[in-house]
Amino acid sequence: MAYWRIVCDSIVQRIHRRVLEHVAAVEARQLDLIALDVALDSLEAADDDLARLVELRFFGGLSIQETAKVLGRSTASVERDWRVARALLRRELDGGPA
Amino acid sequence: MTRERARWLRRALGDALALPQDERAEYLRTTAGSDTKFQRELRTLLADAQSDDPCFDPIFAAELPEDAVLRAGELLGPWRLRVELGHGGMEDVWLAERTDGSYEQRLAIKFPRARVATALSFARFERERALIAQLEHPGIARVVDGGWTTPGRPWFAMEYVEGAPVDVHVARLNLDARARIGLVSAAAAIVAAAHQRGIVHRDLKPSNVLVRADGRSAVWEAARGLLAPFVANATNDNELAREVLEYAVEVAAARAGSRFLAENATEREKLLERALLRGARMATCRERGDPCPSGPCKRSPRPRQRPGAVQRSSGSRASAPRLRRGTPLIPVWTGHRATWVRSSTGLGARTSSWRAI
Repeated sequence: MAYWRIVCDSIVQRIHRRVLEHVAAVEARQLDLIALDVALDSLEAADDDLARLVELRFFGGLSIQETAKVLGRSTASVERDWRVARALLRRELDGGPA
Repeated sequence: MTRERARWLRRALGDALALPQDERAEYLRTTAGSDTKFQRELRTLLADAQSDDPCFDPIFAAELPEDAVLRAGELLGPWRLRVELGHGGMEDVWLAERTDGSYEQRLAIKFPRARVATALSFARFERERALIAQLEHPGIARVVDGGWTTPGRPWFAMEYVEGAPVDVHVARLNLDARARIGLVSAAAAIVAAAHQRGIVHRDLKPSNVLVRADGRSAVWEAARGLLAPFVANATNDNELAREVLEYAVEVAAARAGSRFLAENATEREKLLERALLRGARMATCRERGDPCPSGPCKRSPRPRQRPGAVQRSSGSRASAPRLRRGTPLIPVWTGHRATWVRSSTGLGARTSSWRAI
């Protein structure tokens, strides 16, 4: 039991290091992680399709083609929706509708 | 933003984007009617939608260009590529034959995809190749050969198993319960053999369990080359963390009986990244000194800032959240959300689930 606790604790600390690297990667783009998460939440409330698309693209790292395949839609419509979602997110990040 | 409004905006912008570029503004002007404020809003949104904002490009986008396309007839050592067997998100699989005529042998050759082919995953691919090579079991497809292509793409050749995925096999023969249970227990024995060596599959699903043509032995195919070490064999910390997380997800998914998660690699990936982000958010809350409950982290009470104006005391590394030792957080999965809890409450449960497996 004690052995497992040691193993688990060290694993969890390593996971944290990985999290910190993610933070660094996102910060390098001048993107506020927390603001993005909040923006994504509000996008999800307004349109969960678009939020899902963002998650697949941004967090999942899928290309437009792969996203289209996963969602079972055409690449053209996914591309359009991706642009719309980005614009809505950008507006949300910049402080909501003027 | 209400749902109706979001739907309306999405349709209007989507329709506009489907038009040629010079007609878009005009289309939106007529759609917006006479409301100038509304016109302005749409104009801004359209400008954002048209620009290629690199800010939202995938975090894990490949840094390498897409690999040169593989073609039938290409030679890799003594092996000649015949047909493409599979084309997944993670790797391509080709059927290959020996060309020197010394004897006849058919193999499945695997290549990781460019998207995942960062230096890190190349290293992992190499390691997995070595790992699978170690695993000698009649129920696990053998690794026969491996190397690098000239553009620098790693590959490895595995025994080509002629047979059907277990679900297809079962459906085709309309097997009864006894036969199905027999197949499952055969597969379980193979999985157990690998677990004894500290290796988890990470992508166990019907399509990765093949039944040989003779119908007797189940073969555990590492379809994505995804045999992964659990603790003992990991080469570096980040990889280890990722694997443990994935393993935790596998366990959680299995416990919840969620077929969707267990079978859908993309969904699982997404969930992982989401969990990491949530964890990062929580860590940042701590750094700011906000009270952070052990439940899901609520949004910070600080006023929101423009993303370009993030204040930093020094370099981004230095300002990264610092975590206190001794109170690690671990994810607990409920549906698609991870709750980060302190180890004192969470680890006991997690530990026992690891042991039970």
